[in-house]
Parts: sequence; C-alpha cells; structure tokens
Amino acid sequence: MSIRLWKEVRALSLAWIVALFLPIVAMKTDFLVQQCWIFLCGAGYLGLGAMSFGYEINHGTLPLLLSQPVSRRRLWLEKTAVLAVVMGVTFLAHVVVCILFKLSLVLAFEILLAAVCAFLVCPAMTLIVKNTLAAAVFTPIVLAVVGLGVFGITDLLYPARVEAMNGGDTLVYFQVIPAVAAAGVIFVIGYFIFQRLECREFLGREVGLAWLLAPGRWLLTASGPGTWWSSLVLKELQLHRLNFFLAFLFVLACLASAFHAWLKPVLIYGDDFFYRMPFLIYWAIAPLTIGAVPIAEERQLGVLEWQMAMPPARGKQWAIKAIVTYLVGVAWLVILPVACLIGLYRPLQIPFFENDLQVAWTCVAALGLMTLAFYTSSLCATTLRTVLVTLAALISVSLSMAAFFWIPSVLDYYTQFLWRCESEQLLKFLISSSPFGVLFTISLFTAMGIGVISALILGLCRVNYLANDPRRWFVKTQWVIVVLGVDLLVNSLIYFSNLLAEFKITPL
Amino acid sequence: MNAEIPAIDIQHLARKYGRTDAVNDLSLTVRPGRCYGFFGRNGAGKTTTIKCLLNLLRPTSGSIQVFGMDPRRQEAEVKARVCYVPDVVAFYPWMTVRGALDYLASFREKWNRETEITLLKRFDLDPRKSTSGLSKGQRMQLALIAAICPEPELLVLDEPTSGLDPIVRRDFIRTVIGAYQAGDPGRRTVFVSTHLISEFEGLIDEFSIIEKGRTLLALEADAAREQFQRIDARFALAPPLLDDTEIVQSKRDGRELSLIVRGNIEKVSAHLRAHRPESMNTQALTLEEIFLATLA
Repeated sequence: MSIRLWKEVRALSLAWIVALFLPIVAMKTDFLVQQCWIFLCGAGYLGLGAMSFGYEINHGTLPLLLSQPVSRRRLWLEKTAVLAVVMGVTFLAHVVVCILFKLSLVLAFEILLAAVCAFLVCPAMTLIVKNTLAAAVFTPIVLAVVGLGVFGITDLLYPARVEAMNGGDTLVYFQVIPAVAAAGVIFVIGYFIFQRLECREFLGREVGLAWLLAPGRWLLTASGPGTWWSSLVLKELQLHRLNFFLAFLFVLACLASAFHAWLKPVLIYGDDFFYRMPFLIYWAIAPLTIGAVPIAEERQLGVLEWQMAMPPARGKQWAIKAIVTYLVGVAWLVILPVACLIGLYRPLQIPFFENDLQVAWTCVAALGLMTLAFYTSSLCATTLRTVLVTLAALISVSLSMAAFFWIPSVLDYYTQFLWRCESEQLLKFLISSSPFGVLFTISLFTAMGIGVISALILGLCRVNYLANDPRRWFVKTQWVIVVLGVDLLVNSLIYFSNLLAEFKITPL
Repeated sequence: MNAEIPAIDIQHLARKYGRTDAVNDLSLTVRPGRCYGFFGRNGAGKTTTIKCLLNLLRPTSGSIQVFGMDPRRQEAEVKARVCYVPDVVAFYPWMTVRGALDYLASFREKWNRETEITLLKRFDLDPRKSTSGLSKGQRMQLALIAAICPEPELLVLDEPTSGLDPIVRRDFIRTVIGAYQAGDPGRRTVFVSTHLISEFEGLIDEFSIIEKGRTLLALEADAAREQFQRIDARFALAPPLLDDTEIVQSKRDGRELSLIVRGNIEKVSAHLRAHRPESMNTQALTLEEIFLATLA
C-alpha cells in the first residue's frame, strides 16, 4: 500500500477499532438492546468521519500536508477514498453480525444509512467548524434537524396525507430522503471548502455562544477585581462553550416540537418517537461532551501545562474543574431536560417515557456517563479521542459482566447472612412493600453504589490530572479498576432488582 | 530554465484578518540563485506573506508569482519546485524519523538519500526514534532535512533556526544552507524569514525589511553595507546637534556621539569634522544593525 494511503489508514486506526470491534463485541454481551447498538455503530462512523480531516487539524499537520506538491483535489480524493473503504469494511462486518445474530435486515439498512450520512457530512463538518468533537456532535444534529424538520412541516401542511401513509413510508419519504439529500449537498460543500482552506495560526474555531456566559461573567466580577478562583471558574465555563451551545440547540428543538404539538391536536403513530428525538440525541451526546471537554480540551489547545504552572495548587484547580463540570452537568443533563418536559411537554400532553422513574434513571445514567467521560478526559489528548475511549470503556464494562457472574452469589451469601442475624426485623422493614421502605432501600443502595464508584472514578481522575502524565502501568491498572468498579455497580443493581422481584416488591 | 523569470515576484500584496491589515501593499522580487532575507518585527506580516506564497492563505488583493506561476491556479506545479519549513513544525506522532522522511519523500520525484544520511548524522538524529519523542529543535532539524533532500529550486524557511542550539545553528547556516546553494549555483534560491539576522550575515545576498505589512527597505546586502555606515566621534565638549537628512539614528553618551548614516557619508563626516572631534571613525553596519536602525 502506498505510504500516503497507509498514513491515512493509520490516522483512522483508533476510531476504526472503536467503530469495527466494539459494536460486534457488544452484541456478545446480551446487554445492549438494538437501539443502543445502532447508537454505538453510528458513534463509530461519526468518529471515523471526524478523524479523517480532524486528525490533521488536531495535530497541526495541515500546513505540512498542504505544502506538499500534490493538488488539493488529489488529497481530498485520497482521504475520502480511504474513509470510504474503512467505513465499507466496518459496515460489512456489522452486516455479518446482523446475519449471525439473526437480526432484522432493516437494522442493517439503518446502519448503512448512518455510515453513508457520516461519510458525507462529518468530513465536511470538520472543515467547517475545525473542531473534531463539534463536527461529530453537529453531524447527527444537522441531519436530525433536516429530517425531522421536513417531517414536521409536511405533517402540518398535509396531515391527512401523512396519516394515510404507514410509519415506514413516512420515515423514508419525509426523513431519510431529505436527510441523505442534505448530506450529499454538505459533502459537495466540504470539497469546495477544502479547495479554499487556509492555514491560519489558530485553526480551531470558537463554537459556542459567548454571550450566554455574560451573566456568569458579571456575577463573578461584580464584587470587584477577579480572584484566582473566579478566574478559574469563568475559564472552566468558557471551556464548556460547546455544551452551552448544545443546550441552546436542545431548547430550540424542544420548542419546535412543542410548537408542532400545539398546532397538531391529534398525535398519530410515530409521533412519540418524533417528540422523543431531541431528548434521546441530547442525552446521548451531551454527557460525553460535558465530560470530555474539561481536561482534554485544554490539553488539545496546548494550554494545560501552562495552566498547571500557575500559582493555584493543581489540586485546587482540579477541584474547581470538577465542581464546574458537575454543576454544568446537573444544569444541562437534569434540570434543563426536566424543565422542558414539565414546562413544554406535560401541558401539551406529549407522550414521553412511561413514568417519572424512567426519567430519573435516565438523568442518573447521563450523569454517570458524564463522570466516566470526565475520567477518560484525564488520560486522552483530544476531546474526540476521549469520547471514543469512553465508548470503549462502556463496552469493556459490558464485556466483563459475564466474567463477574460470581458477584451476585457473593451478595446472595451476604443477604442470607443478614437474614439470619438479629437485624432480621430491620431488614424486613427495609424491603417491606411500603412505598417508603422501597424508596429508602433503593435510594440507599443506589446512592452507596453510585456514590462509591463515582468517588473512585473521580479520585483516579484527580490522580491523573495532578500527575499530568501517569505511568503506563498505572493507566492500565486504572482501567481494570474502573471497569471492575462500574461492572460491580451494574451487577449489584441488577442483583438487587432481582432480589426485590423475588420478594415481590413492585416499583412505584 | 529562463534566468530572467524571478523565483518570487510579489506585487502589491494585501491580506486582511477581519479589519486588521496583516500585509498591506507589499512588493518584492527575488531573483533565482539568491539567498533572500525577509526581516521584520513580530507581527510584521512575514509568515502571512510566506503562506500566501504557498497558497496556504489567499491574498485579499495583489499578485504572487513563483517561477512565473500562480500558486493558486498551479498549486501542485509550484510546490513541486518549492520546499517549505514552517515556523511551527508538527509531524504525525506515530511516525519515526525514518518513517516521516519516507512519507515526505513519497511526494517528491527527486530525493537525495546521500544528503539525507549525511544530515541525519550531522544532526545526530536516530532514524528509529519516534517523532513524538523529539524536542522542538530536533523536529526543526528533521523538517530542514526533509526540505533539503528533494533539492528544490526554492527553499522557503520561516524561522528555521528556532529551537536550534548555537552549535547546530551555526553549522546549519554556514554548511547546510551554504552547501545547498553551492550544489547548483544560480538555480537554487533561498527565501528565509528570521530574527537571527547576524547568523545569516554571510549568506544573505538581498533582503527586505517589512513593518506593519509594508516594505520599509529592500536592498542588496553589499549595497546596504555601503549605504549604511556608523560614525563614532568623541568631542571635548558636548557633541553637536546635526540635522542632516542622511542621519538615520543618533545616540549621545556624554561626550561621545554615534551616528548611523545612510547615503552621503562624506557630507555628514565633513559636518562632524567642522566641529573638531577628538576622534572619529567610520565603519560599515551589519545587517542586524541596519535592521535595528531602520525600525528604530
């Protein structure tokens, strides 16, 4: 293989591993439902698409590449050809998995769609925003906006015609075709952008809305000249500018959905998925970006070591970073979606999850994913790599579950021991059928499990941040600890829920 | 090749970043076979100009020709005859030194392996070492090797000695660049932007000094040394005030007077002698002193 083509393949290697192997491995665990599998496959294709040109941007090799005696058209063809081959091989592997696991071929079609859209849009989006993470995030958002926008408008203008069509045709004609057409247009735009691409000193583009931070800036400086901690807090908030922008887009999407529901009094088949889409996309993407940004973004910008050389102790800097990240996480992953649900969806009776407990668990899961991404960002050089490695960590967890089936048996022994001891009455009260008892018990064990594991992960994150360049053996050991810890937590939750079922304890 | 076609011909180049004029009406011409120095303060527009040469930036207005070709329309043809070393060098982190050189060689029709081996030994670079483990200076050395081995007709260097230790710097400038040009005199052109003007003193044939995107001075090096002279004089009492237009810079230190003069040296000398100095001597300026005097 030509050395240049090999270099292109090598640049895509991490994203290719994630895209190719992890969904395949995930299917072995019986843990993932089909929708999650499509998400994993899609995330892998997005990573591949963003890395194609994003690698050059992240590593500053674009001037080196563009100053070589080869036309830009040739460079574009080489990169997109390699990307197409890599994505093609990945797709074929996923099709084989579908066949082996006797999955519906419609799933294969959906994965093909994800691959084609990622191939057409992601490289162009990287050249437009000049930020790999933003490109990977905005690609599905742009396509969702196009697809759902066309569907929403058609549904409003021609409701009878849409109602007469079956769900599949609606999906294809009003969402898939417009989205793919838009993807093709964006691909062509990307080619022309590359032809005219310039190598300025700072290639990264500010993706965010700085004015959203204005109130925060005023609050922090209202008392007088900024203190070191207020400067750090403001800096951390500004690192999250992409997440502020995502939250802004999410609110716009919810408003658009609510407006659509308000105009359309009778909801038809497929509407619940239509209205859930903003939340599903947001809760899938935002935890990863909120967690990935704090440390990896500074490292990517090249300012991390300079920042660490500043007078405030590293531990204090990390603490402020963690606090701001969790505040942003709680605000954008919990408060904002719940506020949109209560303020917009409930009054219009838009269908959503079956009960409030599912919403609560989704928020908890989102915060958990954010914690994992925050930890991973302490080890990765770029934000996109952080996201890919976080997804890899999730799959490692599901892989290890089968290996740790003995943990429930240990917990079972422990429960039997408790049952025999004198606190039998207390235990019976704790897992009695009264709502208070169930709620208390679930909260206690969940908080303990999540709290302990989160504290462990955050502790390791802090160690990595303070060390800045942890030894390899320590990094590998950490991975084992984190994977085991999360695996223990999930196994415990599964076991505990089985225990409750055994005692015929029904959820609220 | 027709020797009359300039290696670089820039006419009224302008480039804006938003409302800021990075380059504003810059013109210069570089004849083939010359070593051309491109000097200026930080932010003067040197790197912007160099990037416009290679179509890494598009000019807002003006024209650029490299060997009579437009870098925008004939990008590949221009780059086939040019090698560029940027001020900030980056390589793909998984490549070794050997791998990076092989990768860059794959773009070139011609690659002198003997020069590569010689320069690797001279710079003491291990071909098996990963580029991610190289220091800033070593990355620059690698970039210089990669630029010289194809033996291009035009070598464009942006701060090439940045990060190099003094020994390597001297060796590189005197031997490597000098040997590169000597390899094909009259055909190999060097266009170098640098702050270490004194280090390139012996090599520069012509130079430009730019400030705020405009050319302040463009001269041949020998002509500049003839035109610019320093006169040091010592007086019994306070030195006189002279307002000759040829005086570019004047410094007083007690009874001593130091003048930098451009143009009619004899006229200024005669004026000084009229004030009966205790001692007076004249000497040519280095290019660095000319640069400092021009920008002062």
